[in-house]
This record gives sequence, C-alpha cells and structure tokens, in this order.
Amino acid sequence: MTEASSTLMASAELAEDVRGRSLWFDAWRRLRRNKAALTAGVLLLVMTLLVLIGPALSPYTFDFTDWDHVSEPPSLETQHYFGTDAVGRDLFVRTLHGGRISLLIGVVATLVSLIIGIAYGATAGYLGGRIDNLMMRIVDILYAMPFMFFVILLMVFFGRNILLIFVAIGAINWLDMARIVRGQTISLKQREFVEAAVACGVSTPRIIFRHIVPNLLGVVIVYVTLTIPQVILVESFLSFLGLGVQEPFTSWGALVNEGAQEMESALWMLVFPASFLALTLFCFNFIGDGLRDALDPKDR
Amino acid sequence: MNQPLLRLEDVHVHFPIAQGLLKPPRHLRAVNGVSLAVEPGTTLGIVGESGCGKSTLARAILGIHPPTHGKIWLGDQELTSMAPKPLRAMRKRMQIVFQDPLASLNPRMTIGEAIMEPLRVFFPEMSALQRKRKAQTMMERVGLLPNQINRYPHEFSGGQCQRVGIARALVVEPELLLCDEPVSALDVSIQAQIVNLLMELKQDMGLTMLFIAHDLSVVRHISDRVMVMYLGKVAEQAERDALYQAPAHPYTQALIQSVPVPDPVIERGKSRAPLSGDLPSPLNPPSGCTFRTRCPKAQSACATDVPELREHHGGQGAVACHFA
Repeated sequence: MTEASSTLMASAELAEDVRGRSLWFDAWRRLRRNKAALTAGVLLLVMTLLVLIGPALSPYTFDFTDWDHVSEPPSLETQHYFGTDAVGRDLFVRTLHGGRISLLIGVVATLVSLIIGIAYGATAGYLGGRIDNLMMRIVDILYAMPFMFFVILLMVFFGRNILLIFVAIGAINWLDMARIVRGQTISLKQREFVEAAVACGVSTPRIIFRHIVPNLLGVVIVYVTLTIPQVILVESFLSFLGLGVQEPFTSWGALVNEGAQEMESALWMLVFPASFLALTLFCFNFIGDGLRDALDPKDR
Repeated sequence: MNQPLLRLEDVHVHFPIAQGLLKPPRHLRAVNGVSLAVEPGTTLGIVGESGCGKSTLARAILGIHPPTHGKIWLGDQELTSMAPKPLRAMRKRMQIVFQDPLASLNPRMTIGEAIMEPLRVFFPEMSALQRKRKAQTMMERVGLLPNQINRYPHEFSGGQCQRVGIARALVVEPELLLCDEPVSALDVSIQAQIVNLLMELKQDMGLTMLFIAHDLSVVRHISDRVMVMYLGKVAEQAERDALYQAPAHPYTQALIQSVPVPDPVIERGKSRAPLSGDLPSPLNPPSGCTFRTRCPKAQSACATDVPELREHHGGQGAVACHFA
C-alpha cells in the first residue's frame, strides 16, 4: 500500500459506502436503449391497463344481450365501439374481458411452470448422478404423454373449467423449463464460485437458491417472455377447438373462433380480437428479444 | 519436529470414466498415493505441470472431491472418516483461494455478500452489522477500500478480485490456507503484490499454507518446503534451498533448468535438456516409473520397477527415482 492510497483510504472511511452497479442494472440500461423492446413494453403496459379498466368505460357488460343491436358494425352512436356479436353482446367489452382471461392464463400458467421448473431442474442438475437420471426420466415419460389427449380427458372427467386449463398448460410447460434450468445448472455447478461456496461450508439448498438460481434467471426470464405468448396461443387453440373457457366467459382465442364463423358477414367480429391477440404476441416476442440482448450482451 | 497441522497418508483420488452401459468404468487416477506433512506456520509449495493432480489434491483436502483411498489429518482430527456435519465445521479451519479470481466470485453477489457468506455459515450468532464490520476490517487488511463493499465483482480488476477472494478465505480466521495457483491468472506486476500480500498475512495471522503453482520462481519465493508432483505422484520433496540447489529427480532438474534467467549471457550459455513430449494420459499411465517416457536417464529397469519414494537430501526430503 502506498501512502497516497492510505490517505485515500482514511478519507474513504468517512465517505458513504459506494453503491455497486449490479448486472441487473446494466441489463436494464441496455434494455432502455433498445427502442423496439421499450415500445413493446409500453404497449403491453397500456394493453394491460386497458384490459383491466376498459370494460368499466362502456355502458355494457360482457354478458349483456342488446336485442336492438345484433350483429351490428362498430358505431360510436350506439356506444358499441367494436360492434356487437351474433347474439347482441358488446364486442368492445368482450374483447377486453377476453384479454383479461388470455393474459391471466398466459401469466399464471407460465408462473406455475416457472416455479416448478426451476425448483425441479435446479435440484436435478445440482444433485446430479442417479437422482438427476431418475428425475429427468420422469420428465421424459411426461413428455411422451399426448397433450391433446390429456386435455380432452381432463375436460371429460371434470367438465370445462378455467382452473383445468391452468393445470393442463402448466403441467406441460414446466417440462421445458425444467430441462433448460437443469442444463444451465450443470454448467454453473462447475464454476469456481460454486466450488468456493461448497468449500466455505454453505448448505446445499442455499447454494442452489443463492448461487445457482440468480445466475440462471437471465436465461429463464427470456424463456418466460417467449413462453407467455406460446401459452396464450395454446389457450386460443383450445378455445378454437371448443375446449377452452366456458360461455359466457370468453378469451381471445374463443372470440377469434366465433369471429371466424361470421367472417363473411361481420368482419369486425374477427378483426378486433385477432389484432389484439397479434399485437400482444408481438409485444411479448419483442420484449423477449430485447431481454436476451440486454441480459447477455456477449451473445449478440 | 512439531506435530504437523496437515498430514496426508497415501491419498488417492480416482474418477470413474463411464465407457458405456455394459463396459465397467475406467479410472482416472488424478492423485495416486500422495503423502505429505505440513508443520504449523510453514508453507509447502507444490509444483508440477498442468494435469499432474495438484488442484485435485487441494480439492481432496477440502473434501470437494473426497479421496477414494488414504487418510487426511488436520491437527489430530481425521477428515476422511468424518460425518458431513462435523466435516462442514472443520472447513472453518481451512479455506481456499482459487486460480481464476473473477470466476471464483458469484457475479450476482456484491463482494461484501461474498466475504460475509462464510461468516454467515460459521458464526450464525453474529448480527448483520457485526458481519459487515468484520468484512470491512478484512477488506482493509487485504488492501481494498472498505466503502467498496456494495460493488460487484465485474467492477474490479483481476488483482482486486483476488484480494476479495483472499478476504473471503481469511475472514473466518482459518489455520490452513490452500492457494490453488492464486497468481497464475494475473499480470506479473500484480502477481508480486498478491504473493507479498499472502506472505504478509501469513506472518500476521500465523497461517499455514499450501501453495500450488506451476511457476517455480513464485514457489521459491514463498515456500519453506517444496514438493514436485508428476502424474499424481510425488517425484521429489525437500527443503526449498536443497531442492533448488541440488535437485535429485531428473524431472525436477528439467523443471529448474527451464526457468529463464533474467541475464541473457547466462541464459544463452545454459546447457539444457528440455523435456520432450507431453504428459502421458493419467487414464493410461506408463508402466514402472511414470516419468520414464520423457526421462533422459531412463533404462530398461524403469519400465518394470516402480521407484519408491526414498529418503534423500540428508534425511530432510525424499525422491522417487532409481538413479538419484
């Protein structure tokens, strides 16, 4: 230590602790510079707010039948901003209401798969050996189950229920998550800082949750933003097949299905829910791309 | 002779290499029968090429890769037969500094969190403030500014990160410090700083050190005794000066000859018998003396007889060669 630095140290002693710049903060700064991702994020925020408070702005409710205006095109006069469907329900309210359900399914099912997937994958990857083998073979077996068959069985046994959709989608999606997390864990496990933690006597659960999980969150977050639109699509697909949410509740998928049937006579019934759905999917994908670039700048 | 702080007796570390479902696994003998003793307050330097089992030996002592055979004592406690819980407590007495300073720190944790982590494990009764004070005192001792406690590893240089690594190892006041090539990843000027820091801390804290390196001049600077390893075995060990002045094993001789001398006249006039070839695979080591494939003195007997480690250097060391 030279003299200069020891006086520096003395003055630093009085100074406040310097705030560090975490990797998360760096990533946030990079993300803010990405215009496409930022625009997508703002749009998505607007979409969420609209979906939450929008229905209150209309005089109609999602299940109210307006017999005076059946299958009418959009008009400001009647306050059916997006028109009405074949049984006279207001499409504006129904589109936003369906958005609530679509987004809810997307977010909740992804969160469920995220939590199960991280816990399962990190445990298998970190413990390794026979336990890893056993746990991943269980995943393989679950993968082999035909998804559609599984959903139809659930619907037949328990009736159509929004909870069942969460279960069905979550049960399939966590498998991917578990595999990704396991792979990441295995590569992280060999890093020296994990070895250092073992040498310090840190307990295994703490190593998994303090050392492994924060380091794989970057990859996981990117995967999540790409999973949410996928889940929304799966739900739309199920609704399209008539296996999704139950009337009078609706979702974007169900609305697109109804709209497609009336496409030739009432195009607005297809255009509004379909464009909301497409816009949301776009936003999620752009955010996912932006996050990937922001979280792993070396990978560009 | 004092009671050694660290004693190894015929330690083997073998890794099974799976070859398929039906064939039995082969074994990679990373460490193959190493015995050593380190007296309290001294430094044992371990040198050898990459892949000769130096780092594996350190990990075996720490219990990261428990030895497949042999015994390890720390003081009068035998580590290999210990249950996981008391073994974890023993880790307070021995800590390690790693080779790659940046890789040995979690990039998502501040350096303060990293230094405080061992405290959290071994002194759970400490308050958060006490921990922070202790970490800051340690940071100061290793030459870091204490107000940098909330910064992240990527905001520091390699040398500073290594100081963090040293602070993390020493914050629990261990008796034994294992240094696994702590300076190989650093610039030469920084190397000297770190080596001198380690020697200073060793004096102040009464540490016993195991210093692993492949740089002979660094080892010469810091060690009291030196051990040379080749393919998982001890080739020679002796007091530092005895080993550098009169190396007995042909491998040690070759290593010492290959150290460049900072004087071009001497350097040019040096007779050298450079080692030819590469280190043989530890999966399939040569029969007899493992060094015979590269040894200038090798004869037919070397292919059949395994040289035992015999006393040498006037009883102060040992060498494993038929001709020493």
